[in-house]
Parts: sequence; structure tokens; C-alpha cells
Amino acid sequence: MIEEQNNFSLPEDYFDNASKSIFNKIEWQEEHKEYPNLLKHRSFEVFGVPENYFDGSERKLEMLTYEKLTSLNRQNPFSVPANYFEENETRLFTSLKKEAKIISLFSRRNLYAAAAGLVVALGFWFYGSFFNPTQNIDDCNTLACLDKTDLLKLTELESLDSDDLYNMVDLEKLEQHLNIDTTTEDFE
Amino acid sequence: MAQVEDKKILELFRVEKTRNEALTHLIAKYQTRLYWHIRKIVIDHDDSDDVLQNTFIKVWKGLENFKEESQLYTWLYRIATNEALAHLRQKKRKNTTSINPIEYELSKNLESDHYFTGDEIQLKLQQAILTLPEKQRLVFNMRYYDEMPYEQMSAVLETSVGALKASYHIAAKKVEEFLLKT
Repeated sequence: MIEEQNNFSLPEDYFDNASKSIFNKIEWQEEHKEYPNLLKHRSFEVFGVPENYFDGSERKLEMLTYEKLTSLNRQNPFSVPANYFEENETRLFTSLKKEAKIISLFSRRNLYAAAAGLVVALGFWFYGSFFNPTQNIDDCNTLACLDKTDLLKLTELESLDSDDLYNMVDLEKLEQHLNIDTTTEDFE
Repeated sequence: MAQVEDKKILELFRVEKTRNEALTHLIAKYQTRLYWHIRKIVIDHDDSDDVLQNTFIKVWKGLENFKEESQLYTWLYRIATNEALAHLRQKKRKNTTSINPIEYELSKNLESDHYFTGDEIQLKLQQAILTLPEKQRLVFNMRYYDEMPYEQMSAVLETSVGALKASYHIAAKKVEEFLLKT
């Protein structure tokens, strides 16, 4: 069987508009059934218009008030270098192609890749924050206020003897720090 | 090159393989029309050339998001108009050395413009047009030279038909008076 191929096309909404027009004609015929003479003598050729009247008539009418403007020879007084449009076509094409390459950096695929990278980076950051917590305590300028993990990280402490360590502790500040803690606890 | 329908251009653009083809058709179909539209706003050829390039770059970047609710032609005109006006405003900002408004400078430059071929009366007409406020100048050029229907103009300039008609008549009256006076 030979497959039917349609090589013709129609204006957009053709069938919709055509059916409206047919209905309107039928309606008009029905309306005028009682008036046979009106139907018979209907003619559009009884009224004439000046030649070329409809060509740009709207514009002509609106220009009637402006005599000087109407009298002018309406022409384009601007010019372009020789072969400008022909050469510009190639030039525009080349520059747009360059631009398209830049745009492609922001293509959907690249944006997805960037988004995925961001998610992974955020994941690491969250993991680091929640699973390796570093307690942020107030710095009271004394060894006593340092967190245990921070102390362990300080390898130089290993070389200090007990007297050095004792000197590093400012007792007054330590006492102050402990008092604050106690006071806070009392109110909690 | 035979002109390709806008619908076809958009279809070609949507397929990556035929994008270049869409670009070629788009430039071939619209560059001249857009150029003349821009030229009447910015007056100078080199400026028009720059604005035309920027217009097509904007069009190319935005074509992916172009909604077919409006016509491609209208959308292109709108971009070209905005680009041309933006260029003029930029020029105004840079025009700090002169006390005269940019429109006066443009009108003066026309006298020695190598790419202005009009006679004395045409020069006078352009000078008259350059005395109009920005919007009126746009409307006047689109109607007087391009004979653009008001409905189409309304879609490009996003202004009501009534307001455009009024604007055109005010502009035409001013130009007429200018021509009669000088």
C-alpha cells in the first residue's frame, strides 16, 4: 500500500475560521430569506473609490494636516559603507559563534555539574562540622580554658615540664573563668 | 538567500545540530531591517553597527527563553530599540565635555557625516526629528518611515494604540512647525 503523503499546508486556524465564516453565511442567508429583492440586488460594485485609495490610506489621512511633511520626498537620507550588509552577515555570524561558546559555559549540563560539585562540597563541610566538632569556648588567655582536643593537638606541650605548665596557667583568670561557669550553672 | 519563516528559524534553533543554520537565517532576514531601525535612533553608522551587534548577541542569548506568545519580529524590534536607547543614554553620560544635549551633537554631526546623503531639506527634517523627546522620536520614525501599524508598534513599545496615535500626532505637529519656521 502506498502511504498517503500530504504535501499541502494550510494557514493557522484555517478550519476554525472557515467554519465560523460558513456559519455566518448560512445565518445571513436565513436572515434574508424573507427579503428576496435585497438578496437579488446585493452588489458591492456600486460605490467606487479613487484609484490607489486603499494603499496606505490610513497614513495618508493622518498626514493631511501636515502639508510641509507631506510635500517632502520621503526618503532614507542615511547610507552605509559599500557591501556593509553582505560583509556584516559573516562578521555577525563569527562574533555570535564566539559568544555562543562563552554561553555554552553556562549550559544546562555545566550548571548541573557545578551544582553537583557544590552539593559534594557542602556535604564535606557538614560532615566536618557535625562529626569532628571543635568546641568553641571562650578564650580566657589561660591554658585551662583550652579545649581538650586543642591541647592534644599542641605537640609542643609534650616538651614542657610540670613547672612550665604551671607557669602557663594564670590562676586569677582561671578562677574568674570557673566563677562565671558556676554562676551560669546556678541560674540554669 | 530566500527568507525563512520565523517558525522555521525557531525550530532550527531548538536542535543543537541546526543552530548555526538558524543563526544564518536570523541574520539574513533581520539585520537590514534592524539596522535601519537602530540607525534612525543613534544616527551614526559606527554606533549603529555596535548596537546591531549587541542586539544580535542579546537575541542569541535570549532566544532559548523566547516565548512564542509574541512574534519574533516584535521581540527583535523591542531588543533593538532598548539597545539603541541604552547606547544613547550611555553616550549622554559620557558627553561631559559639551554643555549641549546629545541630540544637538548628533544633529550637528549629521552636517559632516560621510554616510548622510540627504539634501538640505532632509537634513532639516532630521534635525527636527532630533528635537523630539525620545519616545516621540521613536514613534515618529516607526510610523513616518517604516509605516509600522499601530498594533505592531504597540507590541514593540508596550504602549497603548491610543497613546501611540496621540504621540505620533504631537510629534508630526512639532516637526511640521519646525520645518515651517526654518
